[in-house]
Amino acid sequence: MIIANSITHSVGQIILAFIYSIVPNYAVAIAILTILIMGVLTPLTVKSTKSMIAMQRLQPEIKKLQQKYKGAENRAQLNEEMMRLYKEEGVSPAGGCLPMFLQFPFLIILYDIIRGLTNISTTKIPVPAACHLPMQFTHVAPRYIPNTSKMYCSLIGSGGKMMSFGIDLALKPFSHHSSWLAAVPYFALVAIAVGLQYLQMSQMSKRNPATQANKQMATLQKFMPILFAYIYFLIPAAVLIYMVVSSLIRIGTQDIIFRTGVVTPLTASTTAIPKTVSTAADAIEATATENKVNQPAKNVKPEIETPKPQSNPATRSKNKRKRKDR
Amino acid sequence: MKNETSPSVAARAALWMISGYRSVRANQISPCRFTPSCSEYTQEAIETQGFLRGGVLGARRILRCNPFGGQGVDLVPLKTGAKR
Repeated sequence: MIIANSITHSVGQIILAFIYSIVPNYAVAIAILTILIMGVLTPLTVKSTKSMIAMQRLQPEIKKLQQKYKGAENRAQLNEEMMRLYKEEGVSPAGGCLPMFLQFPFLIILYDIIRGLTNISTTKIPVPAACHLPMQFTHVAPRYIPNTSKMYCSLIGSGGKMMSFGIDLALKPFSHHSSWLAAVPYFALVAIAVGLQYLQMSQMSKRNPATQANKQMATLQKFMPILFAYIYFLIPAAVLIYMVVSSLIRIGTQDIIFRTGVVTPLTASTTAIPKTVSTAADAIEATATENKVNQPAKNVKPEIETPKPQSNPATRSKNKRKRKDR
Repeated sequence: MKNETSPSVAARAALWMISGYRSVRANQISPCRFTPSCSEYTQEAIETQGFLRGGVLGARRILRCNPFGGQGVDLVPLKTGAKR
């Protein structure tokens, strides 16, 4: 853990200091770092979003199988059936729950780097000659970045402030500001970060047919931004820049993958469905119509006796109530 | 299926947090590779095997739920000596 921590710190410090040497603006440098990180992550996100949506489509059928093969003794059978279903539909999970948790250590590392940059030492330390600064000793002791870098020198020169576009990015919304007016940009940044986070979440849940069935949950979800806001109030503005830029990139990516049809959104298949479908024939018809619109023809099954419920929107709408979403 | 004794304070706190997480995430699409999902699994593990054992089982499940991990049905293992 310690090794991993120091590796990420060194990578972060070198990249950030390097970007700053080209673009000497903290906000822009952090934004560029975020873009680089997201550039690495986005292909993976696209892949896992694709598989997540495909799996979600199969949920009603999976729930059915679960009902059918309930209990530990039927476990092997259930597994077999599920694997068959996945294979038939050409679905395989690409992501997982762990990657979701891995976002948090990353945020903590970034937070730590920002705090390290504005580190104030209790003892006076010598100013490197390469900085060409008038003073010889300083209390400002930026950690994690090479002491010959431009970033190191400008942090010392500014007395540990990360001034960018007129605001000190090292401060938090509730830090001591010179005036009431000076605190406004920080709160605006929190508002933007929370708004984007909310937008990103609703962008996804809008595409999930379970949302309509889960009205109570939808209401609960509206309180989610409050929790985010609480966290954002406790972190320096520099980390908020990361949050804002990464949210923007995520929203853009999600929009593009839905728009370009890399992933067929779930709503597209649910909006056109009649609320109650009485017969299997109706169900098949609905499926066929839908398939013509946005799905490959492989899901169309002509046999009326054995409709394929997993790709069948009618059955899906019937099952909506039953579905427990995660 | 449930433990004979009522859940401990820690277990109840953990279960409360998991249900909170589940309700907040309810309308999001699950990224989970397994059935039941990691949160359902952990919930059941803590309910049946207590905070410590259940928590460890849940943590191990989340570690398995990565792009290189398995998929499909993955039920909470039986408590040693217990019958499901």
